[in-house]
Amino acid sequence: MRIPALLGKVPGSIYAVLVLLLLFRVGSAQFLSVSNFLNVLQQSSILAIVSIGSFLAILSHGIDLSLGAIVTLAGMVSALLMVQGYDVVPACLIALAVSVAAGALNGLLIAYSRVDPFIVTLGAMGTCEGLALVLAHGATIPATNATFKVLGGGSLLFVPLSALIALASYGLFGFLLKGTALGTHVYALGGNEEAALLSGIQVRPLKILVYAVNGLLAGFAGLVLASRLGAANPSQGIGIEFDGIAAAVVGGTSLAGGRGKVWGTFMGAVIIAILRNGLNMAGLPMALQMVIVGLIMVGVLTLDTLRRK
Amino acid sequence: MQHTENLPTTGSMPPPHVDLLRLEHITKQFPGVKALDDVSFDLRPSEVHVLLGENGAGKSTLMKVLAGVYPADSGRIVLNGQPVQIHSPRQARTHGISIIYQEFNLVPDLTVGQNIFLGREPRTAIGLVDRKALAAGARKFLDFLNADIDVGAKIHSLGVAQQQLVEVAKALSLESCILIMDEPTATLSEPEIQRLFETIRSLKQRGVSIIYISHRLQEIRQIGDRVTVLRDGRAVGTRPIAETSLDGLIQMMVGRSVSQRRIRTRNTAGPREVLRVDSLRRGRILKDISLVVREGEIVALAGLVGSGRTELARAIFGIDPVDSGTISLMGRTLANPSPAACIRSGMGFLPENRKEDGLAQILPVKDNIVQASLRKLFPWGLLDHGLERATARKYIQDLSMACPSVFRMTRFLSGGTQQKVVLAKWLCTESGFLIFDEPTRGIDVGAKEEIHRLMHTLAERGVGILMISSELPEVLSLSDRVYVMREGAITRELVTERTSQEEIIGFAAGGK
Repeated sequence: MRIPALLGKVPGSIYAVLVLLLLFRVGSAQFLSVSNFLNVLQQSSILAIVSIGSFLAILSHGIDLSLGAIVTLAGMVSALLMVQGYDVVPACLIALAVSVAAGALNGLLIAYSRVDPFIVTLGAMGTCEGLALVLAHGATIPATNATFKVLGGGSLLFVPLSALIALASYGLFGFLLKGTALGTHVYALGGNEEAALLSGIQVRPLKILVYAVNGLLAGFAGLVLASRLGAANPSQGIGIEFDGIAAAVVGGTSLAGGRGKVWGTFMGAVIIAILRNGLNMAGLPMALQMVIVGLIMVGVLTLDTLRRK
Repeated sequence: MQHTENLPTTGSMPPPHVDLLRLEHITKQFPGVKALDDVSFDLRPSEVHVLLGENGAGKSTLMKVLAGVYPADSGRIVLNGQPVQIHSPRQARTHGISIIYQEFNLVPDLTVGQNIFLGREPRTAIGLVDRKALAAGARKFLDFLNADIDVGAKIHSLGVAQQQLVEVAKALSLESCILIMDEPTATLSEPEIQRLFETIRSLKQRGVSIIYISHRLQEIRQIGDRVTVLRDGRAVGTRPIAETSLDGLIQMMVGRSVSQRRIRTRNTAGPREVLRVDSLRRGRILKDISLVVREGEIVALAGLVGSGRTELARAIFGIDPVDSGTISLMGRTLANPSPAACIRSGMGFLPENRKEDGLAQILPVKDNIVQASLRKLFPWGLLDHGLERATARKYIQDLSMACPSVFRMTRFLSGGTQQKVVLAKWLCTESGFLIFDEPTRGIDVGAKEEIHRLMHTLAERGVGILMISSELPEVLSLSDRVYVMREGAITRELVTERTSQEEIIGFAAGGK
């Protein structure tokens, strides 16, 4: 194979990462330092885990707006339980169970009520965020347990543990989606629901499963976030769902469903994390960062649509 | 499950004198229409049985009853001598009945193999997808069909004919002994059609029976063994194809009683051309279309569903882009056709689906009536509610609409009255040229005649009308000239007074 052909095989997102790295290197000398690299890895790991959920929802021709709120709720539940004197493990397990239940409820409503996923998960977003506020009476709850802190702050051979967990999750879901019948069925569900139904696939339980898994992923990300921050506050997950959707879309997932790769979403999450980090280091205010991320998402979608024509 | 051992074989089939399948006295009523009226149909082993009929004759409904999509109101289905109940598409599959629709049921982003075994993936000992078995199984069915398709290719990278073969392979893998094909050649090219026929012949040899829905008269004589003709929801007769003639089949399809009273009592066409279309082309959909409509003339566009009539109307009204060709209205060429530009130049379009495309269902009648004339009625952009109401009232009276008030929400009106609202909307624009797409579909008989009369009156006032209609009696009683379309091209121009249903359908179906 000739070199140009090989270059054509590299996904566009890799180029995007290289361009971003170069740009931010020009902007700030610290940007390419080892410490900042580890920082980006850690920051991107939470978004990366949540993005799998955004990806799964979009792949199955739905959307999940409740992920950020579940991130908040899971962190809050675990912190509150630990403050009440629960051990780390039961506190985390209960928080995860709550997250799965919230996701499964989304799935149940989407599968059986025929209400659009956008509306169902928008409702769940409000409900979970409100629940976190009520539980904590609007306050920030400390989560300073030393064992708990390992989850978000620990590292293995200088690599943050959370980044390893994120990578392992991608490995797992990459395998599930490509190597198992279940994965094929999720693609079928998003690609042509009618065909899936006529092929004997149990479409409704599959939808419930997808959203329950989303809940689990968001809950887990919530634990990692609370652990890294050493606290749970009722708004710390806000907006992650949109970055997750952006990561999936930038990573090549089709909003029409049925098309996309989980590793593309990983690249999308890394791009967004680098963007956020780089813009931070360049001293851009939060509001302006949102403008830039929004523009990039629209730009990528426009290019994608034009290319397919 | 053994996926690779279930190619159908002749050995397991019942002897040929036994009917494989009988549909007995099937009746199916939809609101307002009797779609199937006491229809009986039988299928023998290794037979290609053609189901022939005009649009709306009941072919698809009958097959949907068999495939478990609709329940029948009465009648029964007998398979291999046993009465069976088929309540869902999945139940139909367990009985060995597969249906291939015109719109394929494949997942575009999965591979050929994954689609063939979707929901029935072969597993390895630890429950993972056995990719080798899946590829080998898919290969076996495709090889049987002589299909040179990569089992690892994604569906969206295949052409229509290849996708159709994948559907056939999938049906084979389901051990189907009855395969229903709904207009399988509608989107195929000639060599692809011949390939499909070879496939059908080899399926027959393997003992698969095929119900072949079509209205292309030439091809059914190449491939069919027997033919059953449906008309207006009733079975007209079943004949061995060898004993039929083209004319005989056409007679059966359209019926003998063609003594329709002509509504259009005199030809009011003037010399001025209100619409002129020259060499309009759009891919494979519209092939070099030229036509003319004069003032005061009603021109019909006849043809089968899928022949490109609606696509032509949409192109003329500037909804869909075209590759080349020109459209002139009232002698002026439209530079950039768009609905807005067409309306400004005096064109109106009454779409086929008036519920979805023609009317805003939740708005009051008055809003719908003035919707396309806002610029004309209120040139300064400010609404004059008194004028709006007065205008609406005038048309409600003129068209004698069964509508108590101009404030009535449109969706509460009957189909016939709704069509009158659409008509009023375009009368209000005072257009000189109107396109009617299926003007009386789903409208009861009384209202139908009124709509016809209104169209005639419009023509008398000098409006040029292009009417798309699948109902040949309507074409014959209302039009002055007929353009017949087939496969995206105009194949014939006829003078209505000197033609017949048989002649029109002959040109539309390609029989002559």
